[in-house]
Amino acid sequence: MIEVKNLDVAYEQKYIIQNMNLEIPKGKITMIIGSNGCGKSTLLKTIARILTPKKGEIYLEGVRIKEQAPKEIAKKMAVLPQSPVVPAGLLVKELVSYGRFPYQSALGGLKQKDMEQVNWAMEVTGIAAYANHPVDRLSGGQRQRAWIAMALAQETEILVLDEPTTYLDMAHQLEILMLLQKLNKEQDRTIIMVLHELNNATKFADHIIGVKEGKVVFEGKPLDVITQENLHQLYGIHAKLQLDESGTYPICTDFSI
Amino acid sequence: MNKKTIVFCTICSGIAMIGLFVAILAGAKQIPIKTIWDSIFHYEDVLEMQLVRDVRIPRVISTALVGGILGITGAMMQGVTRNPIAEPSLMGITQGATFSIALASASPFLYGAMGNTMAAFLGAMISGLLVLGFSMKSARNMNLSRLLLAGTALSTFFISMATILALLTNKSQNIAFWIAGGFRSATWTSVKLLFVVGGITTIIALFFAPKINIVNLGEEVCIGLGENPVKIRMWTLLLIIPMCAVCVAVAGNIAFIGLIVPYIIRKIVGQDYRLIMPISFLAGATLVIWADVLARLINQPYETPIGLFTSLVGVPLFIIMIRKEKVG
Amino acid sequence: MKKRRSRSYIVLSLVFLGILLLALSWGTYQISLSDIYKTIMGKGNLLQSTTIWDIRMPRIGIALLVGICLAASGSVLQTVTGNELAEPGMIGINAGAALMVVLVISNKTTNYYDAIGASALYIMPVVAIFGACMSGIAIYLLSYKRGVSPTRLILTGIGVNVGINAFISLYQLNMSRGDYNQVLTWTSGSLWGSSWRFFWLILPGVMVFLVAILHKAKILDVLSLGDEIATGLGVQVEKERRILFFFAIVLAALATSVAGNIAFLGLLGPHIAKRLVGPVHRRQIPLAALISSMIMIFADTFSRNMFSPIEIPAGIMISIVGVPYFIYLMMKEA
Repeated sequence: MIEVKNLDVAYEQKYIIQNMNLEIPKGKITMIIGSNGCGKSTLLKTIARILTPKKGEIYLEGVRIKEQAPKEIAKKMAVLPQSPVVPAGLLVKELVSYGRFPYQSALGGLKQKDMEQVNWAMEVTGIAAYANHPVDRLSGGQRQRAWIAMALAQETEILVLDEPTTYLDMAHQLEILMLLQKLNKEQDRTIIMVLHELNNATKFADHIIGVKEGKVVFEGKPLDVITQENLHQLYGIHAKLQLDESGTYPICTDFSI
Repeated sequence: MNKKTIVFCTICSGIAMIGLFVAILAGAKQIPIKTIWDSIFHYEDVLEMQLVRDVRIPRVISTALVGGILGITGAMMQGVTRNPIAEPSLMGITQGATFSIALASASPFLYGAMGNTMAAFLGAMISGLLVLGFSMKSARNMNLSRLLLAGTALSTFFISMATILALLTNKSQNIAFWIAGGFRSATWTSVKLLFVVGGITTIIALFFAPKINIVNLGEEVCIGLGENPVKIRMWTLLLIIPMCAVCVAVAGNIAFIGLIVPYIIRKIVGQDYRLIMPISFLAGATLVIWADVLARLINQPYETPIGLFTSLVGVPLFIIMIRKEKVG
Repeated sequence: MKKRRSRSYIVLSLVFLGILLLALSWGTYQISLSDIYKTIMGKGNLLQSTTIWDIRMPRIGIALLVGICLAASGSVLQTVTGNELAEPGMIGINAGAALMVVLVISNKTTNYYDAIGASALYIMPVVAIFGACMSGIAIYLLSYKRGVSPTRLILTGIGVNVGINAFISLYQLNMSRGDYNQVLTWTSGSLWGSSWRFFWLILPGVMVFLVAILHKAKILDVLSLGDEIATGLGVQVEKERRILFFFAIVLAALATSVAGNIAFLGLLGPHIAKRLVGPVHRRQIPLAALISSMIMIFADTFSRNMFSPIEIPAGIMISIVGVPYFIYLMMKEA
């Protein structure tokens, strides 16, 4: 699906990512974890074309990203950055309809197909009732749903999200993650995100990538890779782990330094 | 104080002293050193001595004091806003003074009562209160571009008002002189004003340095140390207002001194405002003394506006600093 | 929402009509409404038809174009810089135009305000456009460092503005009084070139670039969501920003070439429009143009007649209204 090969990314002269290689599986939820400043957001931004790599290639469905037209990529991959800002007074339905940008001509309005997608995206994310409300008046959780609706309206196979749960309380965090899981299960969308909360990551991810100092430390199923040794290597912590009741994912119950 | 700082201060004082002499000696009329000596200690009523005593000496003292005060206000403002690009001259205070002069000269009654210097002082005080009062209200969550845009907007506003007054009283060209400023009209009255108002506020400001140090560490740290950052910021800015006002009243708009000087000083002495502030005074004084000498000599017998020199250095530096800042 | 929108359009159109009539009738020579009607229908006397067709109409026409230019330019700059307080008058673009004009005027000290030759009149707009483009390019290049960050663009603009104004004031000091007053109309903005010639001179440019900007309305919408989202939606942010910035400069330059440095007009129109119809550019820009034009026509009429016979530059009237509004906006948002 997405392949990263020999990737180097740097701000000015400072290398954040060096010689990184990884693969992101199709139709799965992939979570990227790591400590602050480890390069996980940088990796995500590079995949999303926000940053240009110094060296190396990123392949989307086997084709190099830089060889594809920006609007064509936008039809395959939607990107939601960390805490985006919305212009004051923009209505929810207007925001969501901006997701149709890659499909529209410069002057044409929204076509039937566009309207359907926009309405569907608002239904799925449960914000249809707020369609005519300004986005900046919504609560944090609702606003995040509106943004996700915009990304959904973009009608892409891949969703890239940078910490979609920051600034949300526990219940709203879970709500957003469950929504994303539903999209993944029901529509087979590939979801890639950076997440801070370890237990949420292990619970919802099919595939976890641990990044430290710009390098991949481990990748694989949560059950396989979330081990005491790996967590010690990644965060420098001594973690107590146990399985959840159904035995499908590990939970970190306590940790010390 | 480390060695670098001491060396810098010594050299700076030396250059300042030389500057003082050159400023008195040189000009449209060159004056021999003996005459200077005589005019201080054996005063006679001849033209040259009058020139030294009533024009050059008050002028050079004014340049030194204005430069010093501007340097220190820049440092203070940057300290409390925690932003190296904050600068009083970009905030619209000067233009408020210009408006006030226009107002005073439009009405003969006011003019007779005050004269330009006092009018400018009052105008700068009022506009300063306005500008700082409102920029401070939200200085914490207001980013720099907003603060500066507000300054630009207020400048435009005051200049517009001044222009209307000037047009109506048929004195339009005077505006250019008011805006350009300079030490052309510096007299012993200016020196007195600078000494009384500037002197007192500067001394108080120096006592404030430790508190500015704490605010400079950040809001949370400051509260943690038991100080009220809002209060410190407010008092600092309140101190800055009369300091700026007195400079504007004497010399008009001398932009960017408060930006250039502390920028260099921080490179040499680090982040301790107990050192930055007094040394900024010294360096600011040196810079303005020489800038004024240049302004008088470069296109003799005409004076070039001194603000042009400082902008010539200041604008490029400002842009370089913006490029270095991590913005957006 | 829809209802409120259509109500805004109706009210604004009525206000616009009112201002238009006021601008036609108010002046040293007062013309009553019925006479205006007669004249427009071709039945007025010679004095009336000269006043309306040759003096007041072209002035209104030019004010209209200036309003359109600055509103469009301001809307674009606000989106491109991600700063709702950005405005061509405050980031040095208009100042660049004014500087070039000042340089030209100060090199020909014999031409007084009301005695400039016809050729010089045509040179001014060209010179102004050149100046605005120069300072626009300078701002862009100076803020370029691996792409242009919106904040850096604004701060650099403020710096350039201060620098250029320092230069202008140097020239102003050494000018004769006549030149000085002429320069003053440029630096503070006034409709000095109010004849049909100027209207036709800038009309094609205004239309071309206005259409070009409206053509990019969707890109502007997406850009207002931030660089990252815009990239995700397939916009080549850096390239589009450059193009749009260029459009904004040219429009500001066209306005400056006939009206001097008018500040805040590029702020007032877009903001009021945004309030009324929301931040969607294909609605916002046309309405902003209408509002800015209204303000410009009114300010010009007012400043011509209020202190008659002295004419106050219209730009000054706009600043005096604009600044308090600007500050109100800042206080509200901070």
